[in-house]
Order: sequence, then C-alpha cells, then structure tokens
Amino acid sequence: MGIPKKFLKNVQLKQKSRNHARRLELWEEGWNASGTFVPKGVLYEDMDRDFIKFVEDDLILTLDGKRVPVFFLTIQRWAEFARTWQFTDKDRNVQIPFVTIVRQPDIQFGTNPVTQYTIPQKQRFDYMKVPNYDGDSVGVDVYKIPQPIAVNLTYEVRFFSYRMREINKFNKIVMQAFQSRQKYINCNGHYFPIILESIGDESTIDQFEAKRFYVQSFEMQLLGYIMDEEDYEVTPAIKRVVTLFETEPKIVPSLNATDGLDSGRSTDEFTTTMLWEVGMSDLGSPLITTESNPVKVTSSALLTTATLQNVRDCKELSGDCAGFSPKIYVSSDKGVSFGAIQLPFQVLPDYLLYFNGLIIDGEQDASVTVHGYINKI
Amino acid sequence: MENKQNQQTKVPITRLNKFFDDQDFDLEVDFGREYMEGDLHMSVVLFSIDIEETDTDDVYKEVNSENVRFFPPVEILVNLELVAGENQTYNPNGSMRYRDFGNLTFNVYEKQLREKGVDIKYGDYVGYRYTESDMKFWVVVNDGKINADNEHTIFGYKGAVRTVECAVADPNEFTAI
Repeated sequence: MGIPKKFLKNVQLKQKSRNHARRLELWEEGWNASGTFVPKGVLYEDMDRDFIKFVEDDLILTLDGKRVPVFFLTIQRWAEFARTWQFTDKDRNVQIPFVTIVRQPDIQFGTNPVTQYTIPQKQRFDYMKVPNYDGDSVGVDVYKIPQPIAVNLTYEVRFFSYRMREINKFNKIVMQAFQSRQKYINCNGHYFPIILESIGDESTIDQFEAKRFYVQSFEMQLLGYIMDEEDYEVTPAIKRVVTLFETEPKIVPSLNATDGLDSGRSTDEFTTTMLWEVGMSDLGSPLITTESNPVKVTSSALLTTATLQNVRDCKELSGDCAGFSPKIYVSSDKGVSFGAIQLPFQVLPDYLLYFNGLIIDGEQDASVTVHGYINKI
Repeated sequence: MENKQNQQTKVPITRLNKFFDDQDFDLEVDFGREYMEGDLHMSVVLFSIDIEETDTDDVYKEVNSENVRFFPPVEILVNLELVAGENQTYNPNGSMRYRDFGNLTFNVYEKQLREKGVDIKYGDYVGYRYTESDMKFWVVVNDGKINADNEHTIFGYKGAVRTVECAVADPNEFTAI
C-alpha cells in the first residue's frame, strides 16, 4: 500500500540550526563532550571505540529477529574468545553469520585536507579566554591548544554468511550508509568522515571439497586527527593593575606653603651672599660675574628669594636692561659644570653658586644675597 | 534460531555392536589411561580463564598478564610433545635475535577432564614444568574439542582422546607465578 501524499514519516519539531548558529552548536557539542572549556582530546582508542559503535549501530543487520554480532579482533587469543564465547555452538565455533572488524595496526599520517602539515613544532594557539577570580582580583586564563595531527585509520570490515540474501542485505545497508561516499561519526565531539575505499569478495565458493561460505569485505578509512589533552596549555593572561601610593614628603614646607602647616612649627632661615668686589674679573662693563669666586652651600635649603645690592634687577629686556640680571648659576658637581636656575630652587650641601649681572655703579662692590629655608631631604 | 545440532537428544550408539560396546570402550579407555597417566605420568597444569572476573580493556578486550584471572589450576596427566623452538630474530634484517620454546601438543583422555570437572578452551593457558624449578606457559590454539575422527576414537566407536595444540605464551601475556 502506497503512502498518501504529504504523509510525513519524520516530523521535525525543532528547526535545525544553520550556518553560524550550527557552528556554535558544534562548538557547544565539543564543550559538552569534555565538560571543560577546551575540546575533549581524541586518541586512537576513542576512534576505534566509535568506529565499532558506528558498525554496531549504523550497519546493524537483523536476521530472523537476531542481531548479527560484531567482533573487533586483536591478536590476543583470549581476547577473541572473550568476545565470541557467547555466540559459539557446542563445539565452541562461532556461528555464521557474523561481522568482524580488524584495524590495520599501521596508522598513517592523515589526508584529511582540513588538517595538513601547516603549523610546525607543536605551536600552541589561543583557543579561548576564560575569566577567573582568585579571591582578590578578576583575571583571565588563556587556554592554548596545538594544531591536531591528522591521521588515517584503515579498517577491514568483513561479513560472513552462508546465504546470498544476507550478503545482499548487508551490502545494501553499507551502500545506503555511504551513498555520499563518506559517513561522519562523532568522536568525543569531533566529527570525522569515514570513506568506503573498496568492497571485496573473499568467499570460499571455489572450495569444492571444503566448507563454503560467503565473505564480503569492506575497506573503510577513517580520516581523523589526534588531540592529546596532555598538550593543552592553560596560562594566566597578563593583568593590567593600577597601583596607587599615598606618600608624605619629609621636606619642611616653605613659608609660602599653607597645606598641612603646623603653626607651631619653626623654620631656620638660610642666607648666602655672592659678592663681587671692585677689581674682580668682569665680562665687560657693565656685566660682572662671580664665577671666579663661587659660594659654597653649607646645608640643604630651599632658595626662594634674592636681594640685590648695586646690581640691576632686569627680568625683561628694555632700553635700560641690555640683558637679564642677575642670572644665578649652580653647580652640583663641585664646579665641573654650572647651570642657570630660577627661584625657588632646592640646593644641597657642597653645591656652588655664582651670579652674572649688570652692575649699577662699577666703582662700588656689588652682591646678590639668596634667602631660603633649611630643610632635610 | 535454534541450532538443531545442539539438541540434547540421546540416541544409543549401535555401531560395532557385535563385538564392541560401551563397556569395551570404557575398558579400552582405562587401558590407555593406565599407560598415559600411570606409566608416562607426564603432567601439565591448566589455567582456565575466568571470563567474568578478568578485568578487560573496554575497547579491545585485552588484558595485561597481571590482570588475567583464572580458575584454580588443575593438573592434567597427558602424553605430550614439545617441539624445538626456532632460532629467530625480531628484525627482518637479522638483528635482535631470540629463541623461545616450540609449540606444545598433548593428548588427554576426555574421561579425565570429566572426572576433574574441567574443560580446555581456546585461549586458556597451560603450564609445563620442564625442570624442578622452571615452568613455562603456552596458550591453547586448538582445544581439540572435536575428536570424532578416526585418530581420536577407539575403533571409530566414540571420541576418547583430545589433542590440544598450544603456542608459546610470552610472560608479558601470561604468568601464573
């Protein structure tokens, strides 16, 4: 009886995700498989396990109400017996029909174009940044993983049977599974294609005087990759921290300072005079200098003001002021070099001071006296 | 699907009935056992694997030697042949030489196995004490379960003897000591 038109065999209650939403879904699947922020590792054993599951679940064949057993075989004889003993007869022979899986031990580098030899030397790459909190500050852990290593695993699946009808059934199931040439399996959240490479026949039909049975062989190749969780790396990200310090200088404030002043505190004045006497060298009248006779500072002090005697006070250039006067120079390296300063200025013991200035009356001595307050730094 | 060959219907054996019956068969077996178990008195030890207790690998069903669990060892009196092992190398270029024991083949009367309540299965291990202090192990590769051929019957009446073939087992695969 035909199925009526518009009869739906499979009703999709939830619309399937597409494009970016589907990619996010796949990413979440990887998350869920591992239970962590990084994808679950996948090794050969995982691929073998899921390949067996694929054969058992997707290539399932039921004959006379009985499921055809599937045996994954290794070289250990006892292991073979452990798998097959439930399906043996009185003489301990496995009863046909059955399916065997043998994996070729030599795993080759993969041909899956998704992962090729592109990144040398197991270079790890940032996979994601995971926020963390160490009880004091919020930071980030950087999860790094290396590029997966592509591998090809070759499996030989054989179906043993006495009847052509059973061979047809199993062959049909395999053909349907691989109608798009490849079949994907989900291995620890990673999708790997399986390709049906070839179908062969190893039947013993030509054995005229021996036991005869059909054997159909299917060579399948799993294009996978390995990701070893031991190679994952979790490193703390660089934290940008602003650190603030509150400091209190031990300098005795000047008289002009008002912040935090204690009215009861006393200050010691500092005064020193740079004297030019008639007859000392000059720079050409009316410009005089005490460079040849600098004054040595005897204590740490903050110089704030200066008083002039017989020296012009020229802060700006004008008709009367051919240059700036006075200009005070200080040396912190015992006279090796001097530099011009402006008041206020902090001096320390052993500093040397001299001035250049315009003299008013060249027949008399001239001086510049600087005033300030003794402090300790 | 029930295998009709496994049905337990019992039909008396009437072949050779003019001069051979079950009592004669038992007598012949006793003669043979007297020679094999009394005169020769060569023994091997059977380590039958306990499938349920052995903790196997989930995917490959493989086990390490220390994880194999076996039933209490049973001494079996047999007629055995131990062939010489070959001088071989692991590498095809002739390096990494080794020489192990050869294959072990032994005959055992089924009646003895029934009396001791044991069976020999494919994959079981067999120990043979070749000196006072040394025991070597083999793994059963042919349990000789089918013994209805002429060689293993007495006058074609019924199978009496099993021929068990064993391949040498590496200590990494099994060791009972």
